[in-house]
Amino acid sequence: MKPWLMDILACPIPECRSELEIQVFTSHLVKDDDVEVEEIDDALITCPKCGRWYPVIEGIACMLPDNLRESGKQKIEETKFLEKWQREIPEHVLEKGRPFGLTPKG
Amino acid sequence: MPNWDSIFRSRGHVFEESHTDMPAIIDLFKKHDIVRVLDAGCGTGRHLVYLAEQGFEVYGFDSSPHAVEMAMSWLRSRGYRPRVKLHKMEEDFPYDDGFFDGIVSIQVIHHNLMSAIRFTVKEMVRVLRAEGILFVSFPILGPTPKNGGWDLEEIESGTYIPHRGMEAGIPHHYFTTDEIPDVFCDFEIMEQYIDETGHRCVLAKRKP
Repeated sequence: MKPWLMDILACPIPECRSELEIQVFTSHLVKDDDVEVEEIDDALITCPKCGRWYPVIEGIACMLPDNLRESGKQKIEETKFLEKWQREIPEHVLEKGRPFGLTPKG
Repeated sequence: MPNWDSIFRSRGHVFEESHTDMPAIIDLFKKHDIVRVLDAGCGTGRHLVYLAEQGFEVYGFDSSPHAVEMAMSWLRSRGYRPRVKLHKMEEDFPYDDGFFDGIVSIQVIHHNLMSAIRFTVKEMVRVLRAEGILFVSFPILGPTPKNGGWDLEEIESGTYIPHRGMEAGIPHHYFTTDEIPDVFCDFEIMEQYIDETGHRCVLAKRKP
């Protein structure tokens, strides 16, 4: 994912549709028309309006609505993302993130 | 067996709103000097009308006579030229080489067998000018019995036919991540993301 994709993406929640913010965890440089540009690999996208978060996993932003994230494979994959980056992710996302955060173990 | 024509006949404008990211895609099109745009599989014309309103010279085709009629009538009612043809995705596109600056195809190309999908993409390459932009979307999250009870039959690797539901009898191919650079090998993939409907959106530039 290149940083300019943030110009296209908006919060997918119909009543929100806010602009989004991004916290990049890992990225690398790629050549685009002989110019080196950043290619984001893993990042956290957050909506400052409704408080939801969305993952960028292996360069793919995943902008699904709550009902497609709260169960099944998607929930497992996104929970793994939270676990992997929990040291970087803000506490309020881990604790009270929408649609879900990380449930403390034990 | 149901088909898109019977769906459009019975349900009218199945989709009225354009893709939610279309305003931003239009900004991108304008930055790349896109003027003439094809909507491949335009249905009843939701993106044709939206793009025409934004000043693009729009063309479209669809395999459903009823959808083509509705799209033409929608464009005419807004004062735009109805350049819409009855045509199938798996047949030679009725346009000259390099005729278009941009192509959009939203939730369409996956409704086919893989050989036909490859043919469709080849035709997209042919009618798009060098460095023209393609915006295409297709599903990645396959339907499960839980979200539809479609009674799916896998007819080739990754391609299923539902035996129940509105789209019964219509093939659905679910792309793997490995297939995308292979099928779109004549494009430079600019971006991919998963939209709010669970469809993978691909923005790509035709290689010179």
